Amino acid sequence: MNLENIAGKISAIPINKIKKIHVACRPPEKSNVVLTVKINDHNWYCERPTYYWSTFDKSFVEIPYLDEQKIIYPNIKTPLAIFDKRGLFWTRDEMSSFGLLRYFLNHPQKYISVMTKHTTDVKNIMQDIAKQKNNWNKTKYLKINLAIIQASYYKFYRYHSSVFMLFDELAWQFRRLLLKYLTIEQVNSYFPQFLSGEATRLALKKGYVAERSALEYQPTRGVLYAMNLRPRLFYAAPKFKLHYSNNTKIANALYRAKITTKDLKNFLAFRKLVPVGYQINEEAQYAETAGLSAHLGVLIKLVYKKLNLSLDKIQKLSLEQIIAKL
Amino acid sequence: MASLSNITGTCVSPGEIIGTICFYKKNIKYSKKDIVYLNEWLTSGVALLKNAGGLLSNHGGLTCHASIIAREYKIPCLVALKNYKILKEGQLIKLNATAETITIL
Repeated sequence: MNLENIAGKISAIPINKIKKIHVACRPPEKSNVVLTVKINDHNWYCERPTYYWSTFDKSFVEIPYLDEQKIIYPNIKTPLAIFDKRGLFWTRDEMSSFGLLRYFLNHPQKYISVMTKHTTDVKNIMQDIAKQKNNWNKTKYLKINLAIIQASYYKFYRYHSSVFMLFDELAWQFRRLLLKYLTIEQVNSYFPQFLSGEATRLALKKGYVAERSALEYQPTRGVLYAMNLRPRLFYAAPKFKLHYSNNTKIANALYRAKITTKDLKNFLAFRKLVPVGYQINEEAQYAETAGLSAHLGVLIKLVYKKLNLSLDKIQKLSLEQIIAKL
Repeated sequence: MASLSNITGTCVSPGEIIGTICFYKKNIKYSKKDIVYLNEWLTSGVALLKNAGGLLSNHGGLTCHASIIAREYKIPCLVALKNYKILKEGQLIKLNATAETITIL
């Protein structure tokens, strides 16, 4: 079945008739509802049911979102991701946070290699934008800069599901596994150290967190752009480590609690995946907000001015249509 | 001493602290004797609470950015509290975030 057919079938189901599942890994304010439908024996999931991507937004996310499966599962040629006609993004089980978690627990090295590639791409994105730093708010360079930001989003969101969607589930399931065998005190003394990294420490030191948190109060913010945030290129390279305090003590406690072979294998995989996932997620959040979103916000303001278009009208056009009008 | 066993929450930053419950207000300087309760679990709120002794919220989760900040500040913290309404401003409590318990002193 091709992309169009799947998208057509999903689009034909009214939202209120679609099955909803609640995920424990995200709090309600972070969208803990996932939509799910079954098409030809495959489960499809929409993990951001409040994001209705507009034509303009899709100019930045559609290609990379649909391409991510090529990085994770290069041998699967069947489409594993689609946008329905409403603009909602759907993934087949393999590309959902649940499927990705299963896959990466069995292939932790693959996760590390994908994330290493991602972090190199983020560094390159920052450099590409930095080269245009002095020309970013000049109308003369608007077309060039729009092309740069689009290419940057392509590179950035080629890892969307494995960076943004997977992480909450990854952390939650690691904690859940520990809670099966250990006391709450043992878990809470051990687990939080996996959720710590350089990006936030540096951001706190530089006062950058306050800027990022300004987004919480921005009514004009779309997912891809922040209109009133100072564009800033902030990058903190993730640092990977394997030694955590109490590793041996926790491993012994798990043996004493008769951990199953499968859970032991998952425990060892989680120990590799969670700290990497955490740091990559943080790196990406910072790169996304004042990095990409604020830079696109500046360009949208220039488009307003030059074409005399409101944000609503811009949303109905693709980037290519806008560039053609400039 | 009464343990508020009805209150359950998730530890996002471990540690133990004795302090007074304060309901979060903007522009107040909190000290290590204050255990600040936040109705909204926002980065902007938590980022200003570096000096608080403990943090509580009925919202939030392990991976929220506000939780990450609390962890970086090493402030004992419980989020996603259930039955939080029995908490009263000014109560002296012992917050054991590691054990996920709150005890009225």
